[in-house]
Amino acid sequence: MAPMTPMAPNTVEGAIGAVLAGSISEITQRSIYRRLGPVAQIAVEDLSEVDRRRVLSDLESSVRLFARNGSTELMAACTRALAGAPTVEPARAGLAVGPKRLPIDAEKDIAAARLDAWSEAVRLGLSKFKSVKVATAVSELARNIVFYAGQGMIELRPRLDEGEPRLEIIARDSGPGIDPAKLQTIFAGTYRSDRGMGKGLAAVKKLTDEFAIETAPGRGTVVTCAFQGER
Amino acid sequence: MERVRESGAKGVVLDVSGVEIIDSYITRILNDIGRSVRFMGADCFLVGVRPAVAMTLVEMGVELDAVETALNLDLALARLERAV
Repeated sequence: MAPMTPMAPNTVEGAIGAVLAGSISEITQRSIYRRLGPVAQIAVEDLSEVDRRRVLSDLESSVRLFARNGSTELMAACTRALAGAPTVEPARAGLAVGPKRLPIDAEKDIAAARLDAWSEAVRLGLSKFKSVKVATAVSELARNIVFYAGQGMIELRPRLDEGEPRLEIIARDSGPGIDPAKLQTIFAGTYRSDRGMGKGLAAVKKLTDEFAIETAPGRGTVVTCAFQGER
Repeated sequence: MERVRESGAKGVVLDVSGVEIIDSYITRILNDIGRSVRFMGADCFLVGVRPAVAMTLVEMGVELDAVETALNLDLALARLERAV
């Protein structure tokens, strides 16, 4: 097992975990894996057809019970994940260390995520100013998850591409999503929410070197962004 | 806010020199405090904003428009004294 990642992505547990992240809390996930037994630690490639079916049927009842929404889609994704192809790409040559996954469930996780992001940026060799921008962006993304979705996940992916440090951040939740018209006002800077300033997402877009958002009402939100180190 | 009323303060100085990250949410809270203090007839100063924080706020396009800013506590107090 890699030292920096809680679970190896090519195990049954890791493959399912990558799918369930953001939809089912880590604590619940752990109890699901315990129920699966030793088979959870087997590499997906080594899973027999009989075990694969057993794991999926065991999973189905848990997912229906615990997933906040979209249990059918989640089960479909789990089935794909266990079909052999790993859902999380294994550590590539360019990856500095394994990705760090930060569950965001409560107010206190915002501060923790901010600190984790900052130390990750500094460790990767981003400038002091850039690291403050990273921490600020993660703070905004984590706050959006807590405010609007209740829970979700932020993943930090440190990379070294030809010696250039690069930090990719993925914020994922299965909250209410954002409809296209509202999204437009958010990025035009004219949106005002009741609770925040409605500027969080637009601010993140301005801070980051790359920014993409996938969202729709009822489909959750995934923000993918990256900070590039400067020489 | 109670303290402002009880003491009849002419100003409130918020020292954020120990704050390393200010995001849009914290900016909103600071602006809200500034507005409330202004409503009570006092001036609200924000001091000690770190360089990286200032640059980040500019880049984000958020405004700290409901508070006065000063480089440090002494300069804020000097401006408050002049204003009295």
